[in-house]
Amino acid sequence: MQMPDDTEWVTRAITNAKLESTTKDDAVWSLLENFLNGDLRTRPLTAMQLQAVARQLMDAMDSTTQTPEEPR
Amino acid sequence: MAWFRGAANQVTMELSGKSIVVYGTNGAGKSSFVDALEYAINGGRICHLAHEYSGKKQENAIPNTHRPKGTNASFCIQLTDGSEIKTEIKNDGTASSHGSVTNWDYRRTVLRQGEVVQFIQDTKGDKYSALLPLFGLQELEVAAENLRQLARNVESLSQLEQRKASLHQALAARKNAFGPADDIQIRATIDRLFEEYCKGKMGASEALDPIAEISAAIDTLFAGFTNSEKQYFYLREAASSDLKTPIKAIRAANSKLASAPDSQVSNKIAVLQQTERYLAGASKEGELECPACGQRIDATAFNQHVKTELDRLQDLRETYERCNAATGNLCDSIRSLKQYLNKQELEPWQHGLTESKLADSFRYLGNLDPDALRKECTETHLQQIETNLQPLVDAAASASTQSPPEAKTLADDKRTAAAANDALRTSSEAALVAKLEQLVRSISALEQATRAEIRSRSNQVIREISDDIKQMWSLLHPGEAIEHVHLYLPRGADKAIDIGLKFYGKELDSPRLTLSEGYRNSLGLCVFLAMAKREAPTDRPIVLDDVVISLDRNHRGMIAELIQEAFWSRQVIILTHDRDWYIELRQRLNPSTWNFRALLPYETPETGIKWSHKTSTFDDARSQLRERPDAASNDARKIMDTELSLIAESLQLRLRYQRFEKNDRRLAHDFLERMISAGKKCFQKKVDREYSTYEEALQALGTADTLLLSWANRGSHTFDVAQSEAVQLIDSCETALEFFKCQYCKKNLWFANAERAEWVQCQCGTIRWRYDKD
Repeated sequence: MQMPDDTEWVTRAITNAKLESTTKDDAVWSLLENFLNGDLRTRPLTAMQLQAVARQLMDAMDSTTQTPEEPR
Repeated sequence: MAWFRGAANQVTMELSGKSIVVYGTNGAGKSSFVDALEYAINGGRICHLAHEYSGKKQENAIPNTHRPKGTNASFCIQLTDGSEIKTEIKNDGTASSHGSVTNWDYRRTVLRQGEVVQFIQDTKGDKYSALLPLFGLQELEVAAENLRQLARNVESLSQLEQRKASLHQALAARKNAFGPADDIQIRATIDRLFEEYCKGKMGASEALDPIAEISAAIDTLFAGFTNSEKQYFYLREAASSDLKTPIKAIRAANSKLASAPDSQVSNKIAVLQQTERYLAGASKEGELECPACGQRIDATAFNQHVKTELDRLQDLRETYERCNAATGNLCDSIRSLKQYLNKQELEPWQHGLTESKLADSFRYLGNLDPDALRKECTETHLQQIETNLQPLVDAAASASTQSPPEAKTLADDKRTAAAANDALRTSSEAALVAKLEQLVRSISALEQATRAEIRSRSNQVIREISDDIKQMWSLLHPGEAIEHVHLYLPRGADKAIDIGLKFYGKELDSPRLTLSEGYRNSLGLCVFLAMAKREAPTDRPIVLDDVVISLDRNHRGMIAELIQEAFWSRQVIILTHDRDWYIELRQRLNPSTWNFRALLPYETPETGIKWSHKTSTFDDARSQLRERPDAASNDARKIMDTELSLIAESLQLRLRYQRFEKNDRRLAHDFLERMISAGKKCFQKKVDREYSTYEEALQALGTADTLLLSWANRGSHTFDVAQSEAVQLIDSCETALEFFKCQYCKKNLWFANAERAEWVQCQCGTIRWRYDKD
């Protein structure tokens, strides 16, 4: 059975995840929504692609938090 | 196909839009046709060969091994809507294809022998993977899996686990140094030290790095110390080396790791983490080199394995990281101890002790390499450190009690400044860890929300399919003890689907618990057919390759009925090596919509796959004439046993009752004897508008019966049959059976049948059989 190619479930998933999560960081949610409407749902991402997405999300965390340095 | 798998020169399965039943002995080449179909739909991948060749080099198994030089394997599939795929595969495995067929899903098209039972025996997770693409939910599953990986990547990129472990240690050190003091109180301490050591400078709050300035000021003061004062300073520093806390933390973590069911868990986590780093830079598809042995291995399977193992050990990884962080702290303390005790100013103190029992301890400290200890720190190491180094720390502490107040204060203040620095860093580190954890939780919450969506949609599809499965199951197994067969999503488990049923009225949540192989086979078939049925308007033909292997005759017969009933409008390709079932299907399925073809037994790769010119299976017997005429005769008898039992059923022939199960094991002679005696009155042929006994047919049946009684029995008992006798036997049997088909309309004698009619007849009415009502 082929379901219609919809994006409604992405909006629904984001809304439900926001309710479950304590993160109120809009920049992060907005990025996640963009990813989910793009590459994230089309094919399994390679390790390099996943790392790039992860970095963008960490950078999007609010300005007090930079991408962390190596721990001691 | 030509030179593809078992094929040699071109061999064609001609369907003309009809369904077909193909019979062939094992190895005759039936599955080569299915392989071509799979190759075409699956973009050059044939699953059962991929297993054999670890995902690669399947090209070795695709071309016929004895193809002439310069020839390539090729095949072409044409559909009645005009679409077609033409493929040519070169010897190096590269292929060129022309054309395409849309809306063709392999898993909904082909069901092979083995896959049926395998599906039922599969784990819930494997069932989920098999069914999800058929539910159209692959996109959501891809998203959920990417999100899961993404959370893992955030964790590993930010080194969250290590960070948490270090933070845990740093918070313990802060508590040790400052108790419950908050950041404001610690800053006040810094202000006090700054005020004391950096007099005349701006305030601590305005300094770029007040701690560094305090430390520099203390160093300047220290430079002016006498050797004796310096000695006390160093002793006090050495005495502050904390060995006990990290040793305690290492032991606590090791104890937790040791209580894990797997005694090698620490080693495994270390190997898996290194492998994970290795895989991060390696290809995720195709093959890669094993980091240990250099052998080529399947990348997808390897990645999946490492991922699964790391997930499994997730709980223990935090403990493992704590152990690592504590080991790091212990090594730092030892390095600091070593540094201070080696100071030139402490030589006289050292000299005084080397004669005592601490001589061994100094030797141990001199030989100890903190970097090597960081890599391997066993319980033996810990005990040696406690035995040798703790007495040195204690000796330094004891000696430093007599230090002059200046040296004591200076050493304490320097240590307080450094501890304050570390303590303030814990606050920002704790905030960072909290944010990273929140990010990971958000991504995981999104994954869970996506999985909830999958679950909700799957439930909807499953409800619909389950109705079909139930219906098909009850058609195949009417009135049997197993009922209410349905798919369901197990509670509390993502990525899992199972099959529930009622066994003698009791609900069971897995068919693996009770079902025999035959029933599992039948259940797998129902699931496949239910899936296939959902897509009836858009899907292509259904292919069933040897799927009834473990079903008894009764249930095989019901599958024929099920296919006719549920898929009357769909093209079906059935391949079987089961001669009895083939014969049964040939007699039961409507010849106006079904073709019946038999493959000749495979001889050599050069001759390849060949069709028999006949729809009967007597060519199986003929293939043995040269080597084993007795076996050929025996085969002919077996074919007659099956053919005649089905014909007798169609003609409603009444047979003499025999004792018990003998009724189910009647032989060709039993049927022929009764057919010949009843046939005098019942078997008729129309000549000049008048029906009279079909003498010619009865004579042929009589000849076959005579030869079967003498030669076929000899073939199965004394193995003493001449080739010429076997030829005559096979020909007479085949000839006898041909009389049950009309020579004009080519339809069977029982083609037209009405329950209240007095007879059955062929389509044109030339031959008929009056029911024996005496």
